[in-house]
Amino acid sequence: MSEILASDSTYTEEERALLTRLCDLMIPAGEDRPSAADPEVFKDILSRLSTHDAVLKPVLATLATRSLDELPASEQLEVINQHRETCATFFQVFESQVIQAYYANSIVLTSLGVNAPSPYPAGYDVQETDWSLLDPVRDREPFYRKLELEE
Amino acid sequence: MSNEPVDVLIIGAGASGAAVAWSLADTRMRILCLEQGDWVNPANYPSASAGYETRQDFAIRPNDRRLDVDYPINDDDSPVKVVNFNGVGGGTILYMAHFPRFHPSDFRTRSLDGVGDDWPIDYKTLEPYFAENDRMMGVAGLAGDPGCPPKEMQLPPVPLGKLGERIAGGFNELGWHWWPSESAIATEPYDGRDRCLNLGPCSSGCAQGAKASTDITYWPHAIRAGVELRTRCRVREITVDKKGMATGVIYYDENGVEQEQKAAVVIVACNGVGTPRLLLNSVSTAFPDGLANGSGLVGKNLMLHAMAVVQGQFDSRVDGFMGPIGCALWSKEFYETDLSREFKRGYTMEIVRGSGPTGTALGGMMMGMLPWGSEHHAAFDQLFDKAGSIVAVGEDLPEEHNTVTLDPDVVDSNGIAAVKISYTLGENSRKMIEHAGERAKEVFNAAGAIKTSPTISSGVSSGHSMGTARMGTDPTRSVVNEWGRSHEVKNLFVVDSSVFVTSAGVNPTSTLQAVSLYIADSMKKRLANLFD
Repeated sequence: MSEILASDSTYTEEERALLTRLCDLMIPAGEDRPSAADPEVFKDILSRLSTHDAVLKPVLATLATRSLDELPASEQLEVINQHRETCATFFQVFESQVIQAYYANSIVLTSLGVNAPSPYPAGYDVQETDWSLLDPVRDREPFYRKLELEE
Repeated sequence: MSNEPVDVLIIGAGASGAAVAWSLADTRMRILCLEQGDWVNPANYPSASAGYETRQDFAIRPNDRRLDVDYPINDDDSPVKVVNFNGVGGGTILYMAHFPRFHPSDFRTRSLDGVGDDWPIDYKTLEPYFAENDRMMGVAGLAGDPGCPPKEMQLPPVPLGKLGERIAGGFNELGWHWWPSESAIATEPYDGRDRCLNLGPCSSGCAQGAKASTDITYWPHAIRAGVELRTRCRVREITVDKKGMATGVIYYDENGVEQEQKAAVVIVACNGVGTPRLLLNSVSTAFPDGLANGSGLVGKNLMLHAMAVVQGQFDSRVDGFMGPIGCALWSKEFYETDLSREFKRGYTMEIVRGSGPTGTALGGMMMGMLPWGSEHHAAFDQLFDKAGSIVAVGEDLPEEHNTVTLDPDVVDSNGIAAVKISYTLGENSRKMIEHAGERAKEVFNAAGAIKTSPTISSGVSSGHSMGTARMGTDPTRSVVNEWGRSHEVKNLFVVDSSVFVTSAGVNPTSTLQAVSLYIADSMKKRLANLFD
């Protein structure tokens, strides 16, 4: 990971650390799912965020003054939420990019029962339909509106 | 590339342009089609790549794609946003392939219900062309629907999946009609296309090639029959002579170089937005208000459909992201006018399957249902693969104040004036939407949904643009005659959904292609005196 992060010059080391912290706060590790701060996921997130630095950096600078790491997790989320109204664009961009990277990750997809990053070429097996479900409808007489001239 | 004069020049290679090109090919006339977009390589469709759910290059709205082959559409003054695709196949590249036909009553709304207008043709006239079009596109479905006139199907129906079966159970519980959707999808190999793999996002192109888009249905046949198709050729205007006859077009080629193409017959097939745009851009001394616009109705009576969307959430997974997203089942329970309701005409209810993981998460975050922190995963699991939608496609009545006009401030990449949509939902449509939304919620509740969304009708997207060059026998009340020929320009034809007089309560592709084949056949029967 360090090589990848080191090669990204868009964000400073401090900014990357803060972004990592935010990712973990947004999507922490679950029973069978990694945190968004997991290096394999975070590298994709960082790549996506690299074109949004103009929106993100000013808010990162503000958040950096709040020393998130020194607070318990619940209070960290409180601090984040205090900025929601005034930094709406930041959250819109950050959340959207994190989600797009996280939910395209192969480990995450596998945990959701989605076994490929794209539907093609494998496709999906959809269960055969039991058309006896239609029996009540088949019992109906045709009810579309017939026109006198066409009857 | 030769600009030798041709017998027939078709503008637009989409649903209707492909059909008319194929039908006219057996005349052995020299036929050329100009298309502003490219051929699409199915390998490039999003569903063949990771991150497929958020790719913007195949977004349904041109304003999101922002490709140079697109033209800007200012739809700020419309609660319904315009969808299209510019390329070989046109809108069929991104449509959901839901393939219902208009009903017999849809052609007689004025006589039957006192609203809209009657068409100069009827269902019986179009029936053989519906059938011919079905054979060309390959329609999956089940014969015997009591809600529709009888017809043949080429292919077995698309499977309902768990989601469809649950919702079908809801309809049964209520005693309401439902039937597997007619779908232009190859559920078995058909005419060189392989079978559907249930990829899901048909609305960003079918990487498998199972969906019937006209680049892989009509066009290979038309080209083999001798039709020439030139891509990246954007027509600026249709030219006319002193006698008021069309002489051809001025277009920009792939290098942006202005070209002139002469033709004996010009056929416009650019859909309900592109066609009025081209006609309004074709001004001349003889036609100062736009070509074929003596009635003043070019661009007016735009119909986009009254759409009502309700999402339902279940307590268990429904395989919602598997299978053709827009094709499962439909209901015609509320299709016809019922005097006990507060609106005339009606709607079809259709299922839209659920989103994949990214779409689910983005939607959940937007709606405030997906929190940060330790609750995130549990909240996501409550949403993912547990939802589906019912979309009501309601008949939108023709109203002259709903328009496509030229935007004075915006141009496309060739400097041609773009379009502005001015559209409001009428009172009839609003009442219909309210009714449809409540019925959709009843269906979800009967199907055991644990939650339903409010009815959404604003901000929805529609590729169903109709009515902006309507057909009729009265030149003061219509743009083209009953077989698609301009009242004023005797060698100019319109074959797309612009000619629709009413919008019906169904998706329009099947009907607009049938109309296109009917007009082609009408031309062939009159070749000796086509301009009389």
